[in-house]
Amino acid sequence: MKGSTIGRGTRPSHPAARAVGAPPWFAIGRGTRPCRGVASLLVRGTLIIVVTSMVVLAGCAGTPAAFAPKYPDNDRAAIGALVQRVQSAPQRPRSSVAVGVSSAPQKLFAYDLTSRRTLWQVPIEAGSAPHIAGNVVVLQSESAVVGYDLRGGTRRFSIDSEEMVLKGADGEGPLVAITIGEGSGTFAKSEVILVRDGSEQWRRPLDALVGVPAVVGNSVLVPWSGQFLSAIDAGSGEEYARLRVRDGVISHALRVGPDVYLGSFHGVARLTGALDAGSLSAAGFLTLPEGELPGRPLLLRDVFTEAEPQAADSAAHRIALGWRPTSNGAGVALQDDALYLVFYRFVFALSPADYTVRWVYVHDRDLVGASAQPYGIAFADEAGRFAFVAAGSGQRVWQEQATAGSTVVELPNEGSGVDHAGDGPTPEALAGMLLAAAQDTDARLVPARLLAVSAIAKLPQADATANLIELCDEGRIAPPVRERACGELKQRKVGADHLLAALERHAAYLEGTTSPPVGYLAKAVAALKEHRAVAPLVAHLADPETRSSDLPPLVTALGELGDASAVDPLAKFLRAYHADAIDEHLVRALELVPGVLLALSGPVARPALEAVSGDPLGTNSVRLKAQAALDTLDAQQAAAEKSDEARATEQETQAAEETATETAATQPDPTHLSTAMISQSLLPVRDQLKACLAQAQKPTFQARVVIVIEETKPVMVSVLPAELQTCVEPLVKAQTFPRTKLPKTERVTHIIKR
Amino acid sequence: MRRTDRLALTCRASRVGLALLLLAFGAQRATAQAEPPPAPATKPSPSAKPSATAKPAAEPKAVASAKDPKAKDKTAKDKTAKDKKAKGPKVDAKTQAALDQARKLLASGERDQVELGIQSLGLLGGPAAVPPLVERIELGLPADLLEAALVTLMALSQPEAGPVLYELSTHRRPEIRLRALEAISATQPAGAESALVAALSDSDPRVRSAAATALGELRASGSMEKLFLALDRGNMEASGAIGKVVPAGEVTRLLGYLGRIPLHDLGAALAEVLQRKDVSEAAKLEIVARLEELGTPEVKGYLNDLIASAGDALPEKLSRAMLRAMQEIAE
Repeated sequence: MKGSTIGRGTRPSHPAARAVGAPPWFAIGRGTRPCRGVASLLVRGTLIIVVTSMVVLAGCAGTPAAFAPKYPDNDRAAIGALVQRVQSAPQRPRSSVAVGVSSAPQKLFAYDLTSRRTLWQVPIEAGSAPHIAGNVVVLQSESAVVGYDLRGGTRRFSIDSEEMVLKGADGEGPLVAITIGEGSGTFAKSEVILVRDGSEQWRRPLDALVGVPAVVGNSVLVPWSGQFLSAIDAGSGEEYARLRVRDGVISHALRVGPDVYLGSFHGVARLTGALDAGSLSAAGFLTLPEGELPGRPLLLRDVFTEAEPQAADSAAHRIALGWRPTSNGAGVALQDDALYLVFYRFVFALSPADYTVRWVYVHDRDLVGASAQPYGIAFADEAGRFAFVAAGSGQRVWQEQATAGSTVVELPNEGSGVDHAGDGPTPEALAGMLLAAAQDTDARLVPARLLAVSAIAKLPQADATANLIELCDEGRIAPPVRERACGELKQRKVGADHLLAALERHAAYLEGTTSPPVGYLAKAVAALKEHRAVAPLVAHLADPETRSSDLPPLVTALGELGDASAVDPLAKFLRAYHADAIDEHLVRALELVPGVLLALSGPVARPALEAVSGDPLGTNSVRLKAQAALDTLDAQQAAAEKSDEARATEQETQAAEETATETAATQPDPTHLSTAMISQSLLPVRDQLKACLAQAQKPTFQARVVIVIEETKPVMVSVLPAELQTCVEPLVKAQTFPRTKLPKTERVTHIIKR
Repeated sequence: MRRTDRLALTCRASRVGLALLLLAFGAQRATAQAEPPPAPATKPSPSAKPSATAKPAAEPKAVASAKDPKAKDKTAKDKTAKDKKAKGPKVDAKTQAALDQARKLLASGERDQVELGIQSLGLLGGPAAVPPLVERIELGLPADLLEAALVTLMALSQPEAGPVLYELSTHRRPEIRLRALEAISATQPAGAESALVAALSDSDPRVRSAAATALGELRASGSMEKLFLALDRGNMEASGAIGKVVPAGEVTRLLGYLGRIPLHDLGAALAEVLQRKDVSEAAKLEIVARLEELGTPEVKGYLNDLIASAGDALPEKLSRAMLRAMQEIAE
């Protein structure tokens, strides 16, 4: 190689050496002569390129700027820096612009809630709901993520997302952070893109699922992989802090006011230094109460399981929770202490502690977007209108027409221009709201109507019972709503007068009245132990228009009320129909009657029961129940007789004992102890005394015992023969002798004979 | 032929044929043995809320006065009559034996035997047959036997059956209620009107129609307003009943329905009114004039049928007015 400057002391390339393939520069260090030809130059150039590339690649394959696998997490200093940057970040400028997608032909539009006017509309192929991100509105459009100027509607950027789909977007001013992703599990791939003034500033890929980001000052907070939150410097794109939680999921980062909140559909916590311990719950975690809401809306989207964003015209946008977090020092609270449930045309204001319904607002069209704001909730409907309902009163404060129609709208979390929440509805007004909601005829709204019924059932006033009766009585209402209302009647503790008033009604064709829901009313009055209901219930028992299905609970209620005035009507009912099984409900009612008769009247029911059980023409199951009642009656009577006998015996014994005691008590003390008395007193030990004689060393026929008695007890015992002393004395001293009139001791003699 | 053979022969006959037989036989016996009808019951006042349970009006109680010896005698007599009634009318030995046999059959517990017992009471006829039948009904019967018992009660035509018929007018089976109303209409016991008025509100249209018809048969003028209400609610049988009970001075009220309800439903009422002797000629002529105003072929046909059926029962002037109206109405 001529002119070759490769190395020093190299020899011209020897064909044999080239054939071996050893690069010439290896040979340089081992005494070869340099190649001076063109080939030598080419080889050197190639070497330089290869080495340079390797250096470059080595540099790139080093630590990535963000989402590096081995980046330390929960570093106290780093988290502290993150918190510091968040706290020092300037507050976002207030925005009152809502963005939405109209009905076909689709247009993207912006509406100012403060000035209440539409700002712009542009045709769009919307593949997702729009996201407000700083000065831009971002949405998926075909295979790109596009951004439009929020105020002017001009297109600011279009990012080819290829197979990835939009996960979330956020921004402040000119800064917009966008997350896109595809796949799941170990096959997940995502990217975080930062756009500044419409130009892409940096991209950061990661092999994991990514969530919804937040831009805070010059930081971009990105949740990923469920457990991690990376804080990335907006300027450099370098990650400077990483949070890892061990007791929860982070899918969203939210900037609301001066604070940042992290969380998922499980709950949210405020970003503070306490999170460096890796625990969301330790940082004051807000969760929703137990219990299912209609439509099962989530606190936040489950972005990690979404294969693709909800389409712009998806019905999923019509069921949502509206809430705005605030900091209450200890943890997270909700603006106006309100959680809003949006369900098509209904908006419920719920207590976040226990889902107690504070009010319900019924709109005339479906809601397609809503946002909790100070003092209430702003929303947009499918007719293209915007409106605001006050947090306290549940009354609509304003409503304006914006477009011809909308399919999805995102609203800002402030800017509606309302400065008061209004007063909460009175209990009666709340009942009226809930009743109207429950009576709505829209079949799609049944789950929400059920919520309204349950809320009525919890109201304390008696009139709420009347509302439930009205719903239970409505034949044309959706069956699940009716059944819920009827079922709740039994739980009511007040409103007996309304129940009685309902029971007074009977079906009458001329008057156009129908039978009330007797069965449910019967259960309710029985639960309240309302004895005034007995007469109306008896009247319904005899009324042929009372539905058969109401008869079993009616009979049961009469039994539970325990009023004997129901006995004759029940017996008459049993006699009249026991042989005529009109339908299964009537038969069931008849089967219950014997037990009830037994409970109410005991043996008095015997003739009626015997007549039924002994009638071969009677329905078999009814006869069996009557016989069972008779058997129970017999058993009860037998037990009663036994008990009576035992009691009588006990009484006799007691009387005898009392008589003996009285007799003894009334007899006077004797003047002295007679021989008979002494013998009687020693009777318990007579045989033992005789045994003493038989066991003596010198068996003797008799012994003479002298006993000195004082106060009924022997104080001295003397025995002849003396060898019997030790045997006889303890036996005698153990006995008690009758009391006598003698004031002093008495000396008596007793002969023991064998 | 022995008695048992006669009974067996009767059992083989169809139920409808048997009912006719019983009707004829029972009516004959009733005429021969009928006691004076009881004093008419006081009419119950119409209640604000209708009750589905019809309660028959109470029979008038004898008022006793210690000071009035005649009243005392009357009280004693009433008491005796009441006791007698409870035991049933006095019967001869043969009838008593038949009654005992019937009671035995009714108490047997065998379906065929019970049916035989019911039929035998129907054949026996007379008021003595009512108490055992009523007792058996009150003990409860399957639907078919209950219906047979009701038909028999209807054939017996005894007002003593009133209380059980009122009970059955509120039975859960509409067929039984219908039979009970038919029996009430046939036997016309005390207090029938209130039971029939209550039945105007029944859920079954057949029962409502039967109640309206029966009220007309009963000439129950006290139920007129309810009948008009029933007519308003589509009970067309109320029309004929109204025609029978509407006071003579209020017949023009019927004219308010011309054009509102089909003529053939109102026709029954108008026909009744036009043939009543207590209704003034002027009122009848006004009816004809209003019909002429309607001027439909249906009116023409109606007038033609009425003339043909009533014949000489219609006054001449009225007939002429009807004929003139027919001539005026184009084909």
